[in-house]
Amino acid sequence: MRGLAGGALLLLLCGAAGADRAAAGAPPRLNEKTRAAALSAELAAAKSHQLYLVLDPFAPELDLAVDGIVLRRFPVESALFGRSRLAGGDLAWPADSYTLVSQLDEPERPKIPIQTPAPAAAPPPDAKPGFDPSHANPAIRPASEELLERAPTHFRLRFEPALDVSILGEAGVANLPGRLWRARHRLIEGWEALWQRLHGQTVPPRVVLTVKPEEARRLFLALLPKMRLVLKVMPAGAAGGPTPR
Amino acid sequence: MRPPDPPAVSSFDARPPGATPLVFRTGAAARVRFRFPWKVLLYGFGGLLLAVLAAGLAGGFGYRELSTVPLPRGAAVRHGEAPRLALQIAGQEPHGIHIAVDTIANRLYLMKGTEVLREAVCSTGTGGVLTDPATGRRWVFETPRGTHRVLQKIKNPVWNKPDWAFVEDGVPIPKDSAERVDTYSLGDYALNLGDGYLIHGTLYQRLLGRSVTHGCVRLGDEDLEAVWKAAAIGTRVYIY
Repeated sequence: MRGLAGGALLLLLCGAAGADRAAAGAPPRLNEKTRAAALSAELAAAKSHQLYLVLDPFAPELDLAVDGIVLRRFPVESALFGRSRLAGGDLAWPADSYTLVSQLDEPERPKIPIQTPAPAAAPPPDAKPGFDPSHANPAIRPASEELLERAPTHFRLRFEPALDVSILGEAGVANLPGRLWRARHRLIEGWEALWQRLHGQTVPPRVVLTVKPEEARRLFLALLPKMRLVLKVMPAGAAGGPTPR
Repeated sequence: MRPPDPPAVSSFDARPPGATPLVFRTGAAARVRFRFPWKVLLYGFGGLLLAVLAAGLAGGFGYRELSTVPLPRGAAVRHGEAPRLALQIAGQEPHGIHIAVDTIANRLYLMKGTEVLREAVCSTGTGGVLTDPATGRRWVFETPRGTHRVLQKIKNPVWNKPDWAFVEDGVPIPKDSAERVDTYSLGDYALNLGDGYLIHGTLYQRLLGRSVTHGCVRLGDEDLEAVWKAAAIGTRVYIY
């Protein structure tokens, strides 16, 4: 029994200590084919005239884009790529382009009250013709404000080909509650991976992006069904981009 | 002579002399006292708990920095194609005037390429829902996100009030179409984005910056005039 406990403890320590972080250094050198494949995926997204997400693994940055232009950047505080040790296989991006398949729940919408016809109040003296005092003070609080408050700060998105993206909206990444949440999150991931492995399912690789809570909420509200996510690479020779091979 | 009685405890010892004898009890003494294996259970449960925890940790802690993960190696591209693709992506960008509307921040940006020509406070859809108690019809007042184009530029627009405008005001829906005409509410200019959605003016300037509309984008008078003059039919409008 002591042997079992000792073995489990050893495994635990190995798992915890083996957080497989390579030293952050210069971006990897990309060959022509890799770069062209990523650019090809981005071009296809740009040609769709739909909103899409661009993840730059080297910056790292997450952008909301359309037609090749960035509409909004979601600053990423830290970004990790992982795959359960139970999954086996190499750590690599499965594809250059992904499609969001997570079900986006319809938000709970406030009901707009029907006004009761009332004797017209006097409009302000500087009001334009047609000014209706009953419309000057909307009875409901704008739903978008409520939606923003209600939007989650921690959520997970599933893309196809199999890729999980976890968004962690954390005010202080280094504080104790944040660390506890992440530890809990990873434990759950590990158990899920174990469960999937036991059931013969593929354990998808996972991207964990830590952003500020308000950015996480905004990102959640910016999502659209079947939205694309593409990986960004800088064109060869562009400033700040990876060095061509 | 009768042999002596066997001892109460029979013993059998085939081992060398001096070894501890094996004793077999008979009768009532043979009943083994059952003791619940608390220790086994405790250690077993503890071990299982540790194993599950370890499995979770081993499965959950296997991360690299994003930038160190190799990108997929493309196969179906020709040599020298990357620069051409990069140019094609750049070619997708609208180089002329375009409009971007941030529905959460209630801001409209008049853009030329990547340059912001004008930033305006606007009002977008409430996101609320209105239900007609008489018919059960339902309207969601949301500004549609995505890519749109200016289909029509209208000066002195006239609003042909739809049914929901009357339902919301709690008044009967008129049968005479003339009663639907409103010549004031949309301001001096409007850009038609299709499906009944417009960028137009407002009588309620105080509400600009808040999400209070029925899905249209409202602008203040000066901003509306500037945007209306800058935009052409076909100008792209990105709502996000």
